[in-house]
Amino acid sequence: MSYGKYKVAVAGLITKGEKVLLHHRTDYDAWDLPSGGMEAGETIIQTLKREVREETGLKVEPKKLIGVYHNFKRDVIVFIFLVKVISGKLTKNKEADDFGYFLYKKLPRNIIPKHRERILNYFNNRKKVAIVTQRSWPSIKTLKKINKINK
Amino acid sequence: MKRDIFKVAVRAIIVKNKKVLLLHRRDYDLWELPGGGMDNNETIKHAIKREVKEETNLTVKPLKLIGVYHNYRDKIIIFTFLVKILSGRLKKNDEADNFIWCDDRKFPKNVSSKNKQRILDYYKNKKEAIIKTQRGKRVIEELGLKK
Repeated sequence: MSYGKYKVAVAGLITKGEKVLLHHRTDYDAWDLPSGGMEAGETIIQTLKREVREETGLKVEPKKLIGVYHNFKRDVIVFIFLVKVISGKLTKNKEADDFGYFLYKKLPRNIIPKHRERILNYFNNRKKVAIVTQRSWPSIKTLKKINKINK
Repeated sequence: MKRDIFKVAVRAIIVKNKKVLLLHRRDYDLWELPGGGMDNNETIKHAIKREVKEETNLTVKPLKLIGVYHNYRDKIIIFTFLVKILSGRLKKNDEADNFIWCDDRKFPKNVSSKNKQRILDYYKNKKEAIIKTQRGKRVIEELGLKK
């Protein structure tokens, strides 16, 4: 039996009706879902709570797993959860300089395409856990492209 | 920030008459769910089809993600999928020397507690996928198995 090596990341989807919370990145002109990598010693749920807290200031609890995304080029497995807000206030931080709730049908032009796909998969089929292999460009390359378009 | 590196594995829940298929390993006196490791150049769905084919000779299609298990000690992420049999017949092979259909009321001797938990999670029949961190011993130690 042979095993590949993978990194694990999580993302949190905070919704208000048909809207989803995104934050604007400080390093690029682009909108993101709160997400990040699992650190040594953490459980998946701990990573989820920590990342959402760091990037939004909100304390959340997972409601359900809505997608498993396998980034084929970078060997990353991303778990995306629908989460509910327990407490806290949206707070700017070193990763986010703005926040917005966007209608899933009107997502900003400069959202990371992989994140757009994940959001749409959820809203278009809310009952099923999406199992998807994503083969698009690494995020940084995508970001540079997005920034070029915006300028 | 130190990123952990994980292995990824898949396990299939194959159901007939409300019973779940277990295979008996050739190398150890151990019953387990069909499945195994995912390579870096395959998709999750491909891994499950390939592993089930290798270990049972059945051609299957994944229907539903039942659970995600994080094996804390060995840094493995395990996905269990309910699968549907498309074709093929159970056939012994290099890895499996016997098969059994079991349910949550009666397990054969020598099933790991981790696999038992995954099977019990299937029988709970939750609408949503289950996320668990499993911290127990390796099955070889737990059951005191020898080759």
